[in-house]
Amino acid sequence: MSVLICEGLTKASKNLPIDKFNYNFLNNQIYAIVGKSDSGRETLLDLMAARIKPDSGTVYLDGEKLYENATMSKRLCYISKDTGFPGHLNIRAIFKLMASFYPKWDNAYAYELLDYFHIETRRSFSSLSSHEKQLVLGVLGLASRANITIFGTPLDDVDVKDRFDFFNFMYQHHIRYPRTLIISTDYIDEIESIIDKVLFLDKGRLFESCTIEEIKNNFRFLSGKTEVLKSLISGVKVIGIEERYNNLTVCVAKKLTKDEIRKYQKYLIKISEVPIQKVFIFLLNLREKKGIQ
Amino acid sequence: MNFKQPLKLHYFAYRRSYPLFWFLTIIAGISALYWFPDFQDLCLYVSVITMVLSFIFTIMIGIYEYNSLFFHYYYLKTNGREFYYSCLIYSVINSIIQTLGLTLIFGAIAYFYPENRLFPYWAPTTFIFVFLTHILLFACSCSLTILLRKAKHIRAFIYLSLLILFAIIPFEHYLTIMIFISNFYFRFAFIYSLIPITLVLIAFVFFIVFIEFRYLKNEKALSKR
Repeated sequence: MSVLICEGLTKASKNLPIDKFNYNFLNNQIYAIVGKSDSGRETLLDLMAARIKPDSGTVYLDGEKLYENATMSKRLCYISKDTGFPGHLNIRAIFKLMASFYPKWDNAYAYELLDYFHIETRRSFSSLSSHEKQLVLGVLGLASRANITIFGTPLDDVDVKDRFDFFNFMYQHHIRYPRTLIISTDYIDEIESIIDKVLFLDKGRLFESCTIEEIKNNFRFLSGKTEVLKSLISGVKVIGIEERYNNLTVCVAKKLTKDEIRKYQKYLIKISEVPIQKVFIFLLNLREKKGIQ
Repeated sequence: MNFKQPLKLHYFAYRRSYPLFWFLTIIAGISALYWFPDFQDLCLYVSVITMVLSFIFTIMIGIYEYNSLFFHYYYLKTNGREFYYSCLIYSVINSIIQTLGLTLIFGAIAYFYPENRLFPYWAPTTFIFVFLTHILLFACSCSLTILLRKAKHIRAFIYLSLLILFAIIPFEHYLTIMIFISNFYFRFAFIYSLIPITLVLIAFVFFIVFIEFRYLKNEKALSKR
């Protein structure tokens, strides 16, 4: 059981700055961080994991400062793209190493997952393909059972089937051993069923944070014939438009009332949920249009 | 402070390197018997060359330490200071292993050829000096590695120049160097006088490593990208 508090985190960097990031990552929740490649996501994760020192602000883990804190660092496991091991180490040795690093290390689970993904534990780390390496790193993060586990874009090179299975394992493991998971991902729609909260980041700033429920309730897609829909949505706050041939799809940022639903249905307008990825893109486009830096 | 974790990483990273190094060295030493009919000269060559090779091995480990191993550790456990202190401990462990390996070689030579007087095989100064030199070389290579971390081309140039330098020296010069080294180890009083200086140098170089390390740690994650 752990709580990670980020207080006014600021880090100046040429391309990936972070500006006054405040957020409390609560116990036993799964968070997703979504942002463009220049949003400073990786810098933010580095700061949260105390891998780099912030220019200002502090990260607290269970009330104690995390930076250079040996006691607290074993409660946090950060698996990023850069995480690696000496190439000649085999996976068994890596597991032994992890067992000494993380007190709650689940060795049997790590072996079970690698067996599922058909990765032999006798193989050296350098002999693994990038797909397998990412899976191994993902397994290490899960099996560490650290109170706070951070995954920095963990499975970019992994195929869609293994990614689905991995996130499924993640969900099951989280149910069995509740803890805080923070995932920075580009595949937000694939994990929306397992996450509790999503944080949208743009140019080093947190511009939106909401639960999945809130997104599902507050954003709706309306699609139908262009002329019909256009006449119906005048005065409605639309955040995104997609027009394909004579078919228009708009994203409205409001909770639809029963009357509104009835009205749209009467004109054969289809109402559907908006994928989180689309919400992020529309909000980002809106920010760009408004010139928000 | 928990030194066990970074030391374990050191153990897993280097556990196969030492047996491999000493196995190859011993095989090379034994096979040299076929090329050198003069056993007395061979003993001197084997002693000095093994010693120099073990120094080179230590330098390579020192380079690997902050070129690669530190990043492996830091990308997993963000507490870098533990790594620095474990690095200090490891430099002593490495020196002990290397000195023990050399003791084995020297002991074998002294046992099979007791009348050999070209090298002080059992002099305590030999072992003390070898031990301290290993620590010093380890510290120096760590320090240089951090210093030249960003200058990859300069680093490659230095390694290449050293290789070329070793390659162009005629064999006679190597003999002179070996005899010089063997004579040096007979200067017991001088070696004793060098011990405090070496200790001060080791402390100084490790202090430099500590300062460089602090900078490395703070700028590392962003600069790697």
